[in-house]
Formats: sequence, C-alpha cells, structure tokens
Amino acid sequence: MLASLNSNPKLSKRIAEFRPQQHRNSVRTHLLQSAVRVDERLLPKLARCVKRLHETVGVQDSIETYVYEGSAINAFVTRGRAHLYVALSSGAVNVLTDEELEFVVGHEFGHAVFEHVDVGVGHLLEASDLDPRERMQMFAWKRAAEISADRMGLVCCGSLAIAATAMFKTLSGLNLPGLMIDAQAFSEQWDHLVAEVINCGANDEHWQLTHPFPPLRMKAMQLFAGSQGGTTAGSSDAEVEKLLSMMDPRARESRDSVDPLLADFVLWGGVAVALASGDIGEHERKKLLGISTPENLERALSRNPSQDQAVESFQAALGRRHQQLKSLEIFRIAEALLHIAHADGEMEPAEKDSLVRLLGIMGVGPDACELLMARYQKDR
Amino acid sequence: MEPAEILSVLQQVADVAALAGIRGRVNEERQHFEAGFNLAEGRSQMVYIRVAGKTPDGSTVITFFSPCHVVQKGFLSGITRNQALDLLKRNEQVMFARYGVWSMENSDTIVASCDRLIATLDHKDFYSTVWYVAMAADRFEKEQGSDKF
Repeated sequence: MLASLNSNPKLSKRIAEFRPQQHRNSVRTHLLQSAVRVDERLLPKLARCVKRLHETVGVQDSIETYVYEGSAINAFVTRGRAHLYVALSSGAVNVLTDEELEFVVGHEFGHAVFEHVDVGVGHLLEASDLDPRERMQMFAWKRAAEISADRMGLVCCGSLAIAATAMFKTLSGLNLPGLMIDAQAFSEQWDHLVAEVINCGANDEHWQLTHPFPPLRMKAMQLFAGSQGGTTAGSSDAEVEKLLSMMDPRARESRDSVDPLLADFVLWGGVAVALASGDIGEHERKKLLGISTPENLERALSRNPSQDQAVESFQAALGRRHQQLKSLEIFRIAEALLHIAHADGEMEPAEKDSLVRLLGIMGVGPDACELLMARYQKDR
Repeated sequence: MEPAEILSVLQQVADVAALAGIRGRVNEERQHFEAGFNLAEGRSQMVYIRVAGKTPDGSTVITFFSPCHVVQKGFLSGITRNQALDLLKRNEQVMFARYGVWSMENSDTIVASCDRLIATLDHKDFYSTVWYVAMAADRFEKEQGSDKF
C-alpha cells in the first residue's frame, strides 16, 4: 500500500518532505508534561507486557511507555528523537486484561514495525495542496495500515477471542468481570453494517475516516486468523481489500470489479438474466461467481428461485435503498448484467427481455437498452 | 487535469448518454463527447460535452455546449455592445441553458451551454439537458439565418 502512495509523484514528494524533527524533539517533553512515564517499579504488569512484546516483535528502537488520562480505551505510538513512545489511555489500562493489553500494545508496535509512524499522515492531510482524490488515497492507506497493525496485535495476543474482547470493550465501554467475546458472533455485526451501508448507498463521509469501521476490523482479523489455518494469506488479503473498498470511493470505481455497494443488484439481476434461458449453465455460473462471492451465490441459489422471484429480490434491493441509484451506478449494474447475458457467447431473446425488464425497473427506457446492448457487442 | 483523467470522465459521460438513449462518441483528439440531434423543420444541431474543471470539493464539472454563431474579430468587427446586451436579455428567457461568448484568437463564438456535476449526473437530466442546449443553440442560429452547427 505504501508503494501505491509513492507511485503518486505528489504524494511521494510530500512523504519525502516530511521532516518530523520538530515533532520528535518535542514529543518527549509533551509526554513527560501531560502523562506518566511507567516502568516496572510503577506499573509492573504493563511494563513487563511492553518489554515482552518489544522483544517478540523485534522493534529496534528503545521504548518508553506512558499512560495518559482518558476514560476511552485508546493508545498511540510515535517516534521521538531517541525512543519509540507507546502511550495508553488510563481507560485502556483500567479496563483491559493483560492479554487484551497485549493486543493493543501489539497493534501499536505493528505501526512501528511496518513503519507507519514514519509516513506522517496527519502532516500530509493538513497539506492544503492535496486534491480530494489524493486525500482519499491517504485515508485509504491509513485504514489499510490499521488492518496491518491489527494483525500484529492478533499475533501478539495469540487469540482471536482476546482481540475480539479488547475491541468489544473499546466499542461498548463495558467492563464486565470475566468478559470473553465470541469472535464469530461479534464479527457478524459486520454483515448487518454491510447491509446498512449498501442500503444507504455511497456515503461521502466514510472515506474520511482514518480507521476502518470496528466490525470491519473484526471481520478482517477473523479472515486473517482463518488464513493461518488453511486458505492462503493472499486470498485473505483479497477479501480484506474488498471489505475496505466499501469505504473507498476510488476502489468502487474500478471497472475490473463489482462495486460492493451494488452487489445485491448485480447478484439478483444476474440470477434473473441467467435463469431467463432456463437453468443456469456452467458459463453463467462462472460469470456469476465473478461478480459475487461463492457464499452469496450459493445462498441465493439455495432457495431455487424462479426468474420472477429473482426479479422480485432485485426490486426488493432497490426498495431497501435509502437513496436513488445514480446513473453511473445503473450503468455499472447494466454492464455486469450484459456480461452475464453474454456468458455463453451470445444473448438469447429471453435474456434480452430479462435485461430490458431489469433496466426498466431502474428507469432505463427500451431504446436506451438497445443502445447499451449494441455498444456492449461493439466493444467486445 | 491529466488527459487520462479527462478521457475517463468523458467515458462516464458516454455511459450516461447511453443510458439516456443518446448516440454519440468520445472524440479523444478534441477531448470532448459529441452527439448530433435532428430538430424540427429538418434542422440539426451538434452538442458537445467537455470537462470544465473541478469544484473546490473535488467534484468534476462538465459543460454541455453547442456553438451557434461565429463572429470574426478585427477592426470594426466582432461582437457589438448591442449584440452582447441581446445575449444577456436572452439568458433571462432561455430555460436550462445560457448563452455566452467563447473568445478565440481570430473569432468569437456564441454558444449555448450548461454545467453539470458528473458524479450526480442523472440520465433523464442528461437527456433534457442536451436537448435544451441543442434547442437554445438552434434557435439563435435560426435567427441568424443559418444551420451550420
């Protein structure tokens, strides 16, 4: 991801220009003034946790640990002139168990190991000459950096349940004795959030968040933990990229993949088009898999829907949207459906009728449908 | 804007045009989208769409435009004060378009035009916009006694 930032000449120049010396000179003074520096004599458990993880993750810099006043569970890491500083809020130290602190401290060490601390995101985002797309790129990088740091936290605490509990406590503010969260159950919140995000349509505010939605982070950790036990890390990365694309308008514009916010339309519309010629053939199934996840496709087909039922589900997805589809979104859906209709090399009249019906539901007239079909065939 | 970004926007314009049922093409060399329209009385009008720039929040602005009259520049020629006032008066009456003057080195071109944001461009709005711009340009051109554009 850092390479992608550096591939933009302007961002690369800004990153290179980042001169953190002034910040590095003053950060220790600031921490010593406003927080407490802790060691084994003051807070032995926390100090030992930091020391143990310091040795485990292989951070070269010497470490100083601080606790600052703040009821929310929070932490940060920053590089100073001579040390790396890890600071935790009093809320984190009061509420989290030793193992949960390992997740949080491990997360912060992740930012150091992966050199996120040297990019100076805050400084770059304050630069007034970045255009909105460059800012989007910076925010997207920052969110991806949080996912990488979470992975380090997970490795450090060694348990998805512990990471989930730390995340759960952070989000809920709960501090129940002996609380241990079922990671699977917690990560299911992501599915509900996805449904909400999809129904709300593109939101201009999501891309401006420096951190991914917490349920997204949980889901990403679950995928990462799963990849350690079987599937490849590469497929986990690809899945996480899809999750993150929900928050990045640039990623959703890519013509090489389906906009996740349009996934329901493309899935149900695709099934309707594929069923138009009878059963779903091998080519059509392959194309449907290209526009959906295997789980979602199986879930849709397990109900053995008729073509009319698929169209109804398509309409239901439209009804759930809190805002109208934009024309560029309609075009992307149309393009994906044309792709399905041409799965076996030619479009049958029934498939064409199905397409006209679906596009008509989205307010596209029959003449425009003909034009879209002609354009698609010409461009193939 | 970089040429590649302009072409990508023009491609989006072509996509929305197709949804609106409007046949046209992206002219890569001239960096605009162009479409021809047949109007009443056997008249015709070309409408072009070009990338105008960006708003302060980064949204891309496109301009629909259709030339309707060219006035050569020079001593005792060019657009007169009265003609300019006439355009201002027309702007008060024309719907969903405006008249303006694009100054070139040797000539002034009177155009009917209208701006839109590409991100929120609706295909039904697109349809009406191209037609209103085409009709506004043709009306002016007809009054000048020509059908060149």
